[in-house]
Order: sequence, then C-alpha cells, then structure tokens
Amino acid sequence: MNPRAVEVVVWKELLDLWRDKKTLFAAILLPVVSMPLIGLTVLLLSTQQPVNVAVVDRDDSTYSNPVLNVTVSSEWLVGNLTRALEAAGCHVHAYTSEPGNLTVYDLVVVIPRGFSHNATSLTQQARVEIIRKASVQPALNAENTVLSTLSQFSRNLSEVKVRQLALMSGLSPGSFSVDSVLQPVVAGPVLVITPSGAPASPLEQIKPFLAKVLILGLIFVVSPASMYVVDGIVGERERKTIELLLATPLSVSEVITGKLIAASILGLVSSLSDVASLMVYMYLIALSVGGFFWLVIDLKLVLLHAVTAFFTILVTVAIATPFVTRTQGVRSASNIATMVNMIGMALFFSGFMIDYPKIEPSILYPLMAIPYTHSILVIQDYVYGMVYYSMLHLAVLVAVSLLLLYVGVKSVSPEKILLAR
Amino acid sequence: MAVAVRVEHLRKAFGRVVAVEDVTLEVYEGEVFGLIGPNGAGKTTTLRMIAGLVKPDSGRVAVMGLDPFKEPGEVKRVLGYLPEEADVYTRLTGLEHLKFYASIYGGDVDETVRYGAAVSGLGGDLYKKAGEYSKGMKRRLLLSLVLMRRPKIAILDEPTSGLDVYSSIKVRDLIKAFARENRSTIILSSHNMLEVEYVCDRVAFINKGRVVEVGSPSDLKSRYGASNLEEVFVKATGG
Repeated sequence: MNPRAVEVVVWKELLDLWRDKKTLFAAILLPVVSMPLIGLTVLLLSTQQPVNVAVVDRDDSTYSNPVLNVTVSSEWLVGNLTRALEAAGCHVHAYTSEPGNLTVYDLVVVIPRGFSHNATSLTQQARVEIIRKASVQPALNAENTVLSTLSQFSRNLSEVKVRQLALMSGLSPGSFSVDSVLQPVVAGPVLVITPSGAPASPLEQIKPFLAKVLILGLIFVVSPASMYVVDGIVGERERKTIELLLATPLSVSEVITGKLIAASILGLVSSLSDVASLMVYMYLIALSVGGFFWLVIDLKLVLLHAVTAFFTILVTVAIATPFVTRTQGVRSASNIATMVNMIGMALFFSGFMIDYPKIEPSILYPLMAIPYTHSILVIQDYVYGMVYYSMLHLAVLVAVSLLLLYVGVKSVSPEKILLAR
Repeated sequence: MAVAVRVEHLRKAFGRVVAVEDVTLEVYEGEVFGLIGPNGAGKTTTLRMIAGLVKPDSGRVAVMGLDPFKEPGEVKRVLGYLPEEADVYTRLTGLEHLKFYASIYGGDVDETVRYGAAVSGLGGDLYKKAGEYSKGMKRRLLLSLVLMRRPKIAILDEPTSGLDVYSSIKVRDLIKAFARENRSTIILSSHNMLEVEYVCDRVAFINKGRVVEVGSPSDLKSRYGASNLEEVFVKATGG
C-alpha cells in the first residue's frame, strides 16, 4: 500500500466532506446535543409526572405527656409532610378519615390513632404507615421525601425528650450533649484517596464520572463515522463515481483505507466536539463546587479519549467494511453498520455504569475479545491510575484496529464492490 | 501492426446469467476500435475484464503484453477507462476533479491538469462545482480525466450515451482529435452504428456474448453488400 496514494484519497474525501455541511454539522452537533438532551428530557419529563399523595390523619389529636411535659400534635406532622411533598412537586391531599378510593393515589401516608400519644411516650414508638404503588418511580421518590421528613421530625422530638429527661434527672444543661446521647457512635471523617493513595480533592472525585461520560460519548462519535463509510463505499457506487476510481492505479485497499481514515477523522472531529461540550458541563460543575476548571479537565485524559475515539471508530468501520461492500444498497449497508454500532453502544453504555477494571478476570478476559472492551479499559484504567495497563489496552486497540483494517480491505475486490448482489 | 490488447476466449457468468460467452479480439496499437452490439450483448463486461475490474471465469486478457489481474498497477498506468455510467463528485469543482485524478498518477501534476483542462474545453466552468454541470459538460470532464495523462490505451464505454446531438458531436470530435494527436489506442463501445462508423478504424460486432464479425467499416459493408453498419449487423447476426 502506497501512503502517498492513500493521502490523495483522504484529501479528496476531506474536501468533499468539508463541502458537505449537513454531514459535518450533524457529526459535530450530535454529541454536543445528545447528552444534555437526554438529561434534560429525563429531568423535564420526570417533573411533568403528577404524583398524587394522600396524607390520612386518623389520629387527628394533640397529646401532652404529663411526666415529660412534651406535647405532639399529629397536625404538625401533616403540615411538615405536606410542605416537603409539595416542594418536591407532589399533589398532596390531606384527610382525617379514610378517602373512598385509594387507587388514585401513588402514595398514601397514614398516621394511625394514638400517634401523638405514642410519640410522646417513654415506652412506646409511634408508627406511620406508608402504602406505595409498585412500578411508579416518582412514588418511590415521594416515599423518600416522607422518610426524610419523618426522620427529621423524629430527631427533633428525640432532642426535646432527651433535654426533658436530663432536666428531670438533675443534670445541668452544660454537662451533657444531645448528640452524644442520640448518636453515641458516628462514622467519620471519611477520607477519599486517589488510586495512588494521595488524598483526593472533591474535584478529583469527579474525574471517574468524567471518564464514564467520555466512554458514553463514544456512542455518539462511532455512529456518524460508520454511516459516512456506508455512504463513501455503497453511496459512491449508487452515485456512479466508484468505477472510475477503481480503474485508476489506486488499489482497492488504498481506496478503502483512504475512506476509512477520512471517516475516522470525521469521528475524531465528533469526539473533540464531544469533549468540548463535556468541558463546558464540567466547567459549570467546577464553578458550583468552587473549584478550578483545569483541575477537572485532565488534558492527558482528553488526549487519550481522542486517540481512543479515533481507533474505536477505525475498528468499527473496519469490521463493517467487508459486509458493507457486499451489500447492494445504502439501506442494507446502513443496517449492517447499525448492527456493529449496537455492539459498541451496549458496551459503552455498560462502561458508563460499570467499572471494568473491577470485573472478575473470568468475565473480563472473554470480554476482551470484543475490541470495544479495550476502548473502555484505556480510559478507566487511566482514571484508576493504572497508566501502564491503560497504554497496554491502547496498544491492543491500535493493533486490533489495524489488523481488522488489513483483513477488511483485503477481503474486498473491485468486482465485489461493483457487482454486489 | 503491434497488438495493444489481446483477448482470448473470454467467458464470464453472473450466477446463471452468462454475460460473455466467448470473446476473442485483437486491437492494434494506434487504432480506434469499436465494440458494437445491442444492450446486454456483453460489451461492458468485456471492457471491464480488459480494464481488470471484473475477473473472467476463463480465457485470457493481455494489455500491452501485461495481465491485468497479475499486474494490475502496471496495466492501469498504460490504460484509461471511462465507465458507461460514470458520474462526477457533485461537491468538487471540475478543476479539483482534474487535480485529484492527476495526483493519483503522480508525475507533473500541473502539466497534466493543464492538458486535461484543455481537453475538456470547459474553460471557466472548471471553477464551478461539477454538480452544476449539464450532462454533456459532465461527460467531457469525465473524458478529460481519462485522457489528460495521454494513456497508451483508452477504453471508453458508451462515451456519448444519453447525450444530445450537439454534446455527442463534441465528444466524438474530442475522441478523434485525441487519437490523432497522441496516436493512442482507443477501444470504444456503442450501440450507435453511425457514431462508430464515423470514429472507428475497425469494429467488432458482439451479440449474446460472442463476437460475430470483425473488420473495418468499409470492408464489412462491402463484404455484406450493405450501405451502412446497421445493415451489416442485422445480416451478421441473422436478425
């Protein structure tokens, strides 16, 4: 293969691509828009789901413990719950008796009879019953709000009880601490350290998340690049421009390699746009935690991501090439490219959720047969501080992508491209 | 006369469809040779096999003594091939097309581009995007891409197909002028007998994948007692 010949093809492809503003625009915009759009959509839709909560105050009473001199009213709890739930966007309906149809509510909080009495007691516990609809995520969120309100209510009441008991036992106010009675054992301080053992700053704790988002971002850079290859090979056949090219001294390998490199450069542009948009998000996060932007954005990680994206795209298009060149039309070729993309998507999505370096070797090693596993490990190992393994996986990714590229282009002949059936 | 292209007993089938049954030909250096036949006769497949794009099931091809399937790089350097349905890159200008194809071959790219621009006759239109060209302009550009490096052998598959009368005349004149000026061997296919009679020194009739007659237009006409090549073709194929 003559590098000069490949360079000529890449020049033509990039010139053509530069003039194809729609493709370029989509490649840059897709990663920029996709991630915030997913987040925004989830956020907007989740706030648009009405959660109906019923608070049933069967107790509807106020009770004062004559021994402790502590008073509790069930109405106070209803008030606290209503404010907290409404602040969380729930529709709250308060009752003093059982409402007729409970099924219209996603969550029902029942304050039973005797609540105020038990809450002020030294021998009883007051209970609050919760009825939640299964499979309704917002109901689960509302339940968490109820539990947190109850916990705060309980804590306040405990403090009052402890103070009263101390007073009754003759302890002076300065001789005891409410916290040491209520929580004699607490955890902390929790020291978070980096993989190298140094204390991790709050900003460094964000980095693993950043790495996972970068892995997720690979989904959005692989798709436009593989579609570009489909267009570059099958599309050229349909537009009747490939035969003249194949009749020149350029070998099929040089033509296909040139196209695959151009596609990978397009993917790289996507990836840089992906990183740039991510930088903006992380900048905002850094501002919110009072940190410095460049501490969050590890430029080595950004560079590593760009290189990984390039070779991940090359692997994808190299796998798709032997199949794409044998299909008759753009539609079937796109289907094949999508199937290859799906494998990548599944793994990259799992890379967002799972720490691959922590996976058991018996599972991880077979997974390494899929080149995308190395793409994930390049980034995750780096974030874990295992730079040597990160470089090792990058080397494997480069080797596999070049090998697949070689096999891909060697499996194609002019006849197969021209006369695909 | 030295033989530029020798084709012996070529056969090619696509599944059950036999595109070329048995084609044997000799094309001499410096002549304009026409391959004539109806649609589906096997012209394009034969030309693709000569250009090394489609491998024959059996038979041999030699281009300037070289095998297009064993020495594809060398053959493609002496040969220029214009496919029947070739089209342009719509987002590239005519000049960028010339630069791109000239760069593939290397050598004096500027000189090749200058000659290609002259051959195309497109003048200032070379700076326009090829997507804005008429069909005739596109064909002249494509023809110039093949001829600009003065190949020893040019294969032109239906060079005037789909063009109007004026564009066809321009393309035919371009081919004749090029052949005269460069003494190149030109093999062109057509189903337009008048065109072939005007341009070609010798012709071969091809029908149902077989060569049925070869000779100069005047020889064939006198041999068959016909006034034009259409009559010769009908008589030669028994139609």
